[in-house]
Amino acid sequence: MRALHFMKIDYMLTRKQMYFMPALLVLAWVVGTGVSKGAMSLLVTCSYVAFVASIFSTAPFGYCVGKNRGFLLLLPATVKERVAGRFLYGLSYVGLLGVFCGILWGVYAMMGYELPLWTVAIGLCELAVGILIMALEFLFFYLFGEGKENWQQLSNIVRIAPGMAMFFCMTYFVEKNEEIQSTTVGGMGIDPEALSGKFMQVGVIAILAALLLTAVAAAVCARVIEKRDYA
Amino acid sequence: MELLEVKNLSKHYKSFDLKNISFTLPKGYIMGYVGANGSGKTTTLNLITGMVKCTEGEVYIDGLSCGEDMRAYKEKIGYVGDESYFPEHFKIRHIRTALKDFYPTFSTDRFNGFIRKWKLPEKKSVKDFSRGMKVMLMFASVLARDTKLLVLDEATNGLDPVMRTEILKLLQEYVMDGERSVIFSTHILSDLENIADYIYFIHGGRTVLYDAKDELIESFLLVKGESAKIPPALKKELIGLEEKTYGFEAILPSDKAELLGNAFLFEKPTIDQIVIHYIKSREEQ
Repeated sequence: MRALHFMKIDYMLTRKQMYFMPALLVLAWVVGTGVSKGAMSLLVTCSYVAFVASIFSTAPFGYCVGKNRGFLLLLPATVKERVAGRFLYGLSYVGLLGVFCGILWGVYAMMGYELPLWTVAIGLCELAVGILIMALEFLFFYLFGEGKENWQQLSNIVRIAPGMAMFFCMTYFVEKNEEIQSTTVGGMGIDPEALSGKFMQVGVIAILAALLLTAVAAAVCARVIEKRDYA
Repeated sequence: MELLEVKNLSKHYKSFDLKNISFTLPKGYIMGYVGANGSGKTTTLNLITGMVKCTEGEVYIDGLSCGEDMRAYKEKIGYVGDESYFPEHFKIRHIRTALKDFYPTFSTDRFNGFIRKWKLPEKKSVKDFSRGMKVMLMFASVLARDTKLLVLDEATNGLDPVMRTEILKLLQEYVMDGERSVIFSTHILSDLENIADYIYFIHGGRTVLYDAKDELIESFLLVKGESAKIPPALKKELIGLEEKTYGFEAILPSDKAELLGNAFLFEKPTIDQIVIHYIKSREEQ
């Protein structure tokens, strides 16, 4: 329960970034449609959303530095609850943006766009990578930079670079999609649709694996933080 | 009945060691925790609040240690620091929400009462508060719930005399029911003169003096006179001998008063004078 209260505090801390969310989601859609059409544009949109999520989910680390952390540290709770609250915040952020992508997928389906199942699976993998990036960033901040005031530039790089790399990789994949398909799956004479069931399994397993690794990262962070002095 | 028990508390840092700090504070009393900058006051208070982990030793609040039940332990403490510890972007409503979520004994009405009484701006972020407002907000947040021990780390420094007087009054009211206590570190020793029941004096991470305030004052004399007239036997006993334009000033343990004879003036020292002369003597050593 207290972990949820900590999550609530993180939402209060970062409330201002919520104002930008609608504009960023529209931008993600615009970027996607600019690169490609239909399902492939959704993949770009989702990777952009995952990029935004990886930046926004780590925001509380920037809001709580130096003496300003005192309030959280003095609250009657265990270190595990505090760390769990922050991870829940990050996961909920990625989850919310995942829901946005799901809604967009639904809207496209209703509009009659052709949405091959394997693209949905790739979308799930993007979400999994988004969760994983968030977990690794949290791990970095907790182990090396939690509360440090002079890490602004490095922390910005850590927050931006992995998500941005994923976004550019996905844009590259979408732009080169036909070429890639013809030299890999298509080149081997395999119909991607025939493998859709397997792709979906991979997508779901990727999400579960990412969640499991996030839980491990949270446990490692809590263990390390428990031994740390805060003043 | 002791409210706060500190047993052989030690903390090792690369450049500083806090060594074997032990004291007790009974319920219903105020302790002044004094010392020069860098003497270990904040380290001790951070060890008590649990923000820093001790290398050795134990702290008990109302019989409970941090290791036994961290939540219950922290609920007993109200901490007011020398700087605001609230996230700068928080407004009062965010602090109220968080406190309500975490502290079962938090009273919204009491909190709102303090906010109104001290005219704290509801719509501003904490970063736009004056220093005095930040201190009062910290006090509002701890006084609006049921705590047993108030830990104040130089909370009154930099406040105007009116605000300081108000805080000192609050502290006296806080301990009035005989169930709660205050440990209070400050550089403004005249504040302690007014409200402290016990004094703990620390220097270089080591205990120098620890006693009830009145007994501490009784156990020393402030001695003044001509330096040339100080006999060697007396000079050996004087603490923090300071040459001034009119002669010397030092403190002397009261039980050595017979060494004074008739050649010197002496009077009851203030806490301030005891501390200053002790620090001087330690620095000379």
